[in-house]
Amino acid sequence: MKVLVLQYIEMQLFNKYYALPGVVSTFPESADMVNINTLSSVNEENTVDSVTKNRTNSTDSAAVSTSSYGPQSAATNVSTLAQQLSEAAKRAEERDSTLSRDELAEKAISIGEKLGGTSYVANRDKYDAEVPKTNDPSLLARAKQATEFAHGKGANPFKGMSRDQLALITYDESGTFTVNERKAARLESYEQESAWRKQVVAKAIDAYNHTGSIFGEGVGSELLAHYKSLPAIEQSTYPKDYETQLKIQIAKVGEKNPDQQSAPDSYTALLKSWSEAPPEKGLSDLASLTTMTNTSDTRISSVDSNNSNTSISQNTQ
Amino acid sequence: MKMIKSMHAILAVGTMMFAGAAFAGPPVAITFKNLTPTGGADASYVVTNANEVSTNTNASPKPRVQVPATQSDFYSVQNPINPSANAATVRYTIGSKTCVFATSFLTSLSGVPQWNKSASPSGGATCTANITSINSATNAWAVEFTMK
Repeated sequence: MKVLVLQYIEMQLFNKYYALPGVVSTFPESADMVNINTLSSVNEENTVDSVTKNRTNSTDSAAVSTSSYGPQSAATNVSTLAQQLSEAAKRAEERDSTLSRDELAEKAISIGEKLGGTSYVANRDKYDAEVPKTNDPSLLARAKQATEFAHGKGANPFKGMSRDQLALITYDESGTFTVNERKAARLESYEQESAWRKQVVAKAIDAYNHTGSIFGEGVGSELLAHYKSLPAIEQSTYPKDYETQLKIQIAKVGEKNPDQQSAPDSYTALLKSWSEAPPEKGLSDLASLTTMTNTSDTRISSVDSNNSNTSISQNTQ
Repeated sequence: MKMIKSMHAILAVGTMMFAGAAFAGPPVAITFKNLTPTGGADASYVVTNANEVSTNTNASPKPRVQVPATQSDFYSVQNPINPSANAATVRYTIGSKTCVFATSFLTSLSGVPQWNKSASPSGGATCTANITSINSATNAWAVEFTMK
């Protein structure tokens, strides 16, 4: 238990990347997933004791598989992976800060080629024979599981991990993770992206059928939020002006983009509200909305209830 | 008077926005499947000509540059200008194999809507294109491209 408490404290010290709970699913037969946002230990009767801890720095969730290897094994796996992610995060940070966006994109594509392109196929036997330089049985088992997974057998050892964590593994070139482990992490990330894409494309078509724009009904905002949530190296594979273009599309359909938490209401909403309001209420609604909307241009300073004496002043701030 | 001018300005902006939406052509939902078995190579999405550049520009989300074996990619393409036409052309390669896929929507002069698709293989690739659904009210459609 003492060891677990120390490990828990260690986990709390991690930053965005490695503070996120690590996923260790070393043993595919282990189906029980325990979220380590709760500090858990498994007692002798194989029940789980939990102390819930609230985290404030992330909403990501991940899980750790307990296993038939016992509580010490599971806890060690978490600690080892967390440590590996911690070190990988430092390397990623350095890489992201030293490479330009174009260089990052080039790296992302060349790593992708190494992990799944024709060069991977050509070197497959070598990668299958790769063994981590460690005596840690959990790391050896994880590498073995990744190789089996690359051959279509068993479960992905990184199933359910966050995109940030998967990117740390996929794009880490230090040798901490085997090529097949990185390939497994990449595939998990790919599948998570596919699941998101499938639903967002369906929403986009629905939005077109209802509004005439594939960016309507919040789709544009969802695309933007998703893009901004991606790790820098994955963002780099998108066009440089992708974010700007999305914001233009969001503005076109008259919706707020996620950056505009307290931004003015759209002109579409303004017009809709004005056109639907009763005559005596329309102008007051418009006045309040316009006051919210405009900070530097025309502002309605007073509206009388008979709509006959409206004065407008220019805000010159 | 100023109020009227102000409202005109607002209405003009609103009209432009609605007009923008009205001019967009029907979108196509594209599914690309790399049917290479497990252990095979990724399919690479490549852009080589003006039609492919245009498709990429109008795609949302953007096609992924690599599609692993057995995996799929999903995106939509919409022509933002022409309300009665849309087209998409995408190219994928696996080693020396290449598939060029195209799909389009056009309303004929007599007003009849037409949806087309094609798949052009080279280098020993097997490519298929199938229209999987059509919304006759809005003309939006879905197409599935496969490669192996």
